[in-house]
Amino acid sequence: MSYLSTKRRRDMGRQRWQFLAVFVTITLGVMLFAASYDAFLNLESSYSGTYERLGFADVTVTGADDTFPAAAASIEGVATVEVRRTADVPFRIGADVLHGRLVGMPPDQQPLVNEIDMTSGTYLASDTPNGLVAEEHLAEYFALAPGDRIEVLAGTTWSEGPVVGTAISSEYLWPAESRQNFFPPPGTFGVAFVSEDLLAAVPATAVADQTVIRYAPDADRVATDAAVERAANAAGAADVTTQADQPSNAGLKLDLQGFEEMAIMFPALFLLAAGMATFIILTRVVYSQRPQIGTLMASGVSRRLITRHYLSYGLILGFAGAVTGVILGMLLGWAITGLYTDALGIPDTVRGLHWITPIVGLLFGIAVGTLAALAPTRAASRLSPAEAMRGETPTQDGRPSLAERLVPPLRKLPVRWLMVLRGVGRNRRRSLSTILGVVLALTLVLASWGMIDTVVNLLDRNFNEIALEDADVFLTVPVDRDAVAAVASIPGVQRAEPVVSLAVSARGPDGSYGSQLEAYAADTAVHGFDTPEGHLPDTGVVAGKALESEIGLSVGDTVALSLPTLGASFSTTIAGFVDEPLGTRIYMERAALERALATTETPLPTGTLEDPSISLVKAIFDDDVDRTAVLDTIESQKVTAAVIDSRGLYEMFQDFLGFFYAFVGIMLIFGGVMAFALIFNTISVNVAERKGEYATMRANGLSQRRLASLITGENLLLTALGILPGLIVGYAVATVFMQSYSSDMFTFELDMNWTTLVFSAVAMLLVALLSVVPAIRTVRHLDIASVVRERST
Amino acid sequence: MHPAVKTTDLTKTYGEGETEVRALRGVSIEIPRGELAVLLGPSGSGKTTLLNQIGALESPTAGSVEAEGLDLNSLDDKGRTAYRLHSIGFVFQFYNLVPTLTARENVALIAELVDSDGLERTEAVLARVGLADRMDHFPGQLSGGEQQRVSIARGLVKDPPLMLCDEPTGSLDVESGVAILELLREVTRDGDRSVLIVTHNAVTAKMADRVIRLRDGQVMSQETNPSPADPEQLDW
Repeated sequence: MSYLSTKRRRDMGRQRWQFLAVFVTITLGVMLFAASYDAFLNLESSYSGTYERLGFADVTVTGADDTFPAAAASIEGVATVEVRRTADVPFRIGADVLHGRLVGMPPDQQPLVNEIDMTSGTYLASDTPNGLVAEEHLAEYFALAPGDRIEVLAGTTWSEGPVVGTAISSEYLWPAESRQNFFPPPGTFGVAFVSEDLLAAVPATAVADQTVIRYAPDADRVATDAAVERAANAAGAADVTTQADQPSNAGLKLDLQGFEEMAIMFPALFLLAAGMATFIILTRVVYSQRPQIGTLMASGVSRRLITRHYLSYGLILGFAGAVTGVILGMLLGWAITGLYTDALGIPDTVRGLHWITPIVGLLFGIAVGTLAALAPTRAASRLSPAEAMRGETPTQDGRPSLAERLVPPLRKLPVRWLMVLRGVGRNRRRSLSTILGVVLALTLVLASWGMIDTVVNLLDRNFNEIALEDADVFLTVPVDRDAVAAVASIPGVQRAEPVVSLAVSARGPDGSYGSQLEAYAADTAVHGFDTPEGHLPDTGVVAGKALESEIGLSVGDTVALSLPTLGASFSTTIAGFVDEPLGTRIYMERAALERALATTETPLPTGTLEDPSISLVKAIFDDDVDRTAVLDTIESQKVTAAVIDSRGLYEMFQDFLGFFYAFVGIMLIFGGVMAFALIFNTISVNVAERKGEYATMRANGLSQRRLASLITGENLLLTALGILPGLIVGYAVATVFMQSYSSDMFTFELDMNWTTLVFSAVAMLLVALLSVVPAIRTVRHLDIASVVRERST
Repeated sequence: MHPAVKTTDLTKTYGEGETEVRALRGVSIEIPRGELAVLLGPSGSGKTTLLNQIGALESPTAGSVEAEGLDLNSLDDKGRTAYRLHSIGFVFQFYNLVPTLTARENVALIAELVDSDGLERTEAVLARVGLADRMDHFPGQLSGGEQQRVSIARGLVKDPPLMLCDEPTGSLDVESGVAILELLREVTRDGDRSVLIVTHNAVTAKMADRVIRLRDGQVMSQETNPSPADPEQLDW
């Protein structure tokens, strides 16, 4: 019936701001879904494309004996097995020194596993045996190009090689040094691919043998992983890293998981809010149109047509919001994918048209609009025409508010404040929707703000309570008492300590875990331990608490540690666990490590731990010192191989804080829009329903200011009622959200500042104040003379 | 002594050009203090517009309204609000009570605006309108007649010199209507309070001290009634 369409169009036009608020909320919800889900699908395809093209290893085994490659090749599902060597040694590029990793590659032809994607220059050639291919992040940071030179610390002397090319590696799409050092500050860690000649010059203690394996496309990944791990363990492997655990891939997958979670959580919040807002406004439309509905029915319009008519409001809103949201979302997803792959240097940017995104997006929007319209539509179609035509509306029940019943003295309040209190319970569904709007908005804000707080606080904790050193100093001479004293005597250095850092494989009841073993002096001041004693135990080790879940260890258990670079193994006890935000390391007292190594099958000679490829010096600087000058002075020492600014990550993060808070700001705006939509619609409906009362009060001498304060008071009270549950729900969701990111690489336990809770609550109150403004304007322009003569609807 | 209300050449025009409606065309009336006046006229005669001018709910296009010695034209919004608060008690056809407040609270809401002794006066006024034992009932628990009594009490509690009633019996049955008119008659008896009732029901005119007839925005007649009938005697 075309006149009903005209009626609908005009109804929507008359309440355009309320319908617009619903439309915007649905659009935002669907847009967030489409953007994050499309970005998730695109990025997953982009990673897969790169991994497939470059033959990214399905598993990497470190430290297994010579029998392993053949054994691995015979495992069902294994397609390709290759061996290579890697070495962690300092690099020097110009005046800068950094942690370096050499990855051995066959000259003249790319390996079958972990191929590299040349971005400039040429691949390694046998006629340039000391040539290096710089990994893209390293090349970019130091602006390396073919012809430049990189020096490598081989034992105690620097060897130099020319850069023959630059390349992207699937192993270093994110340049993580290890699962323990996932965020190396730019310029402090780099990877170079070299032929075996350059590796041959590196001391054996710095070199690790690796077997890299690719599976057949149809392999049963879980079963093959298990079989490879069994074979690797039998061959004495120090570490087995599956593709899922490979540091770069694991980190990127966590990011992808974030997109996937965002694609569910954030849209769900918006669409729930949109559903409530639709429900409120349509309930009001139906309620105020009772006489019209009655007349239409009396004139022969069927209940079915009435149902269709009012359902179409929700359907149209949902469809319009969903279409707009899908279009904007897919464009945004397209842009995010490009920005993301550009920023991370992922060579393959796959941006496909995923039909599931628009289909699900449209279904979401339409379902929300339609479901929210169901109840009001049902009410419309069930009206008794005779009753509805009389235009009489059921008289509302009145009763003291819950607060008055619980606290009777409240009844002594001035009546205008009683009116505010009782206004809250006057239409419970509507009030609940305002409260829900606040809860949803706070959830959105706290989930994102909590994430930033957590990261800020965990870095604060990491750099102010745990990793207390200012610099890691690598020497070219044995790290003995004199060498450490020499570093300590440099002006600006307050303290210097030798620290052992070794790759380690820990074996517990549930398997093995590759980590880093660090050994400190008993009275160390360069590392804080959050054990009950506050320091390292005399015997045994303390470990990152992820080892409990990773390999099933508990305090008092025996753990077998094998040190592949020393070719040594020993068993010791777990004396305790530490809760460290970054990485899962194993710590022991240096003297305890020396004692343990002296009891191994082949006892290591005294002084082994002083080898500069095993020990480094960690230095703490004086307060308020010029850090750069001290770093330069240390670097200029003849025996210094490398100095790494340990606080670089912290400072880098501090520099990016503005960016992170911009993200929080966007979420605040989104949350604000969501809360605004619901509060605005609720207030608009309240004011429309109470126009007669307000006009009568105005006619009886209530000033505009007082009336505005009553309306504002009621809505602030409703908002305040939503704040406490909102903070609780938001905190809980933020906790779960952060926990989903926790792994052995990072411990993300929610650490939200109380100020965040306060600011979020204040922000909601401000949104409530803002939402009241249009209603107050409506009341200010109320035509008192005519409204007082109307029957309230 | 000022009259309760005096209008002079009052004109009110709505809209412009083709849509212009002249609701009042030079209306001059005077209602002395203590009188119950009835403003009669068919639909569209301008009676509600005139009531709105006297109640300072609208401003005239031309002419003046004087009430309580005030020239309403000279008042700004704040002044008009204060005038309505202290000088006018409104009674409307559709009571417009706040459903979440009891009868007592509905009246006290307005009483509080006037002064801090509002609560005591509230109870007295509600007793006076016959609701002593219904004060703590919510509007939903009261009949239409009772709700209109609360509405009258809400107007009276400010002790205004002028009560303006727009079709006060329009939504009521005969019995309740008579009771309300009796009540309005009675409120003119204390001191010099005036009551102006707008109605299209000519029968009501018989109980008035003064009857003003309007048609097409003009005063057709203005006459006094030397022996007003008791509302109970009206032939409905």
